[in-house]
Amino acid sequence: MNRMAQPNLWPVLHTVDTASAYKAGLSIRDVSLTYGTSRGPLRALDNLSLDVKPGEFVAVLGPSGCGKSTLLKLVSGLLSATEGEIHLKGRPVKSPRSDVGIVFQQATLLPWKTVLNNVLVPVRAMGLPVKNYRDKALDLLKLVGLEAFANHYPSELSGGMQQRVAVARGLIHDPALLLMDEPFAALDAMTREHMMIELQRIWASTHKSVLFITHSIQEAVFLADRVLIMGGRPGRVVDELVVPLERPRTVETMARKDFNDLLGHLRHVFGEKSTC
Amino acid sequence: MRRILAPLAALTVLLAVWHYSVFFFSVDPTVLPSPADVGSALYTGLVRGTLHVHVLATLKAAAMGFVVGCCAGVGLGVLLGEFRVGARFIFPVVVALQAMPVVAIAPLLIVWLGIGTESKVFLAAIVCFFPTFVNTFSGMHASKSELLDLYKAAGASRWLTLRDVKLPSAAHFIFTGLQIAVVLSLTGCVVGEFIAATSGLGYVIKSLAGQLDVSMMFAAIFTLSALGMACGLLVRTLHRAIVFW
Ligand SMILES: Nc1ncnc2c1ncn2[C@@H]1O[C@H](COP(=O)(O)OP(=O)(O)OP(=O)(O)O)[C@@H](O)[C@H]1O
Ligand SMILES: [Mg+2]
Repeated sequence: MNRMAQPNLWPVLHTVDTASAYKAGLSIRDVSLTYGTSRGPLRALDNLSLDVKPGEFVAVLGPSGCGKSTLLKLVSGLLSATEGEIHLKGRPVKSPRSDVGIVFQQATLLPWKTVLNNVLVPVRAMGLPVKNYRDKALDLLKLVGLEAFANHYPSELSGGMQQRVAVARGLIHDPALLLMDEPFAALDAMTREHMMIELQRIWASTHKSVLFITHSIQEAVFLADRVLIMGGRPGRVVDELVVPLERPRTVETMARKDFNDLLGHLRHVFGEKSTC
Repeated sequence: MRRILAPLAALTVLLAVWHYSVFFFSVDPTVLPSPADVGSALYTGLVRGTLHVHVLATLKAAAMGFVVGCCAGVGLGVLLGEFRVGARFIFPVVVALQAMPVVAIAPLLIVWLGIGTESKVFLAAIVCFFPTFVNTFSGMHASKSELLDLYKAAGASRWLTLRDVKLPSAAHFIFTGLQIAVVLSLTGCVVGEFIAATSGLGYVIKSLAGQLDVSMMFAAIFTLSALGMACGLLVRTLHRAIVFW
């Protein structure tokens, strides 16, 4: 692609090939969720639909409190939808499933376990033989650049390193889909940029589908193939943007005009449609 | 160095004040003996060994009470923390029982258990139970919800979640409870010995009061506080070693 050429800046309304997404990737159809609170029912999500194709990186961008974490909990099977259906690889998601990996907003490592054992937690929790996964865990630690820290405790690691351990942990059981809930929100700007580049590299080398939740426009545009913009109260998808930037994206990408035009466009959309 | 020197200086000053007030105001030694009298009583009791039997008796009963009371406290705390429905019934009962002054039931124990080790072990166990129970119970709610979600999302069993997340998260609370309990176990034990025992430091203190041997009473009291500090230190050391994170 010619860098000088004017890229397509305006949202291409994505026409999802529903049938194939339904079979292979993640498909969310008209999902609503109502929380029962002390002050009556609270509708957190309203008729939300989205798809993630196999190998696709989708970012969900939305302001605080618009139901992003709720969405992620639904997909991971921690909550069940009040209405609507969620399918992953053609099978309905009703309870936690072993083909989903999760990276939470905070690193949430167990401080009493070593880095290696933290990476092995999903394997242990699924009742799989931990021994068979040790080499895989070490490979993943190498992938996130922490092989030297396998036997350290989380408190001996920086915030960014802990978050990388959490990414490795999300990948240990080879899930088809990786769910990430604002994984870099707690990091400083420098570490965050570094982590974005790392994540892109990891994603490119593992071919996972990723549903990446964030409230950072820059993060969404840099990482995603497609950005879904959420509006709140109740939460729903209000707009969609296909990111036409070629990969691998680098620090230079972030300085480019087309990148920043996309940011500007999203800011505009945010101001217009996404009130929370 | 300063951590040792400062209390040592305070202790020296205290002893000096004590010594000179007894000396200047010529206090009756059956009311307040001089530090030297107490020192010699300590020597007789601990080095020559007249107190040894009683130290051992108290330590043994306190330790047994501590183990029984803490096991029950931690056990019930974990159980009720895990099964919240049960907690709704049992927790108010436990809180009501806790409000009852333990000393008040001590004479009843003579009726139930007779004079001897059982009564004081029982008293020590009761006083150990409450702080460990309450601390364990609140510790069971201290797990981060993300960690619980992590285990739940991976389909972990209840038992594994308890072992991997809830118990380690509660460990700090449990040890805080044990820390309180270990000192209370001596208190409970001594109260038991005042009322229903034929040995132990509490028994010694009570019988010496009748003989007006105040120096030896002081020696027994100081021995008790030294034991309390030593046991507290032991628990603190274990706390640091086990809850290392
Ligand atoms: N367990 C719950 N019970 C009741 N209401 C809840 C619960 N969890 C979330 N909510 C409500 O649902 C709405 C969406 O919450 P959610 O955590 O999904 O937002 P979010 O988009 O992840 O926000 P943030 O970016 O701040 O993390 C909020 O209004 C919140 O008050
Ligand atoms: Mg959230």
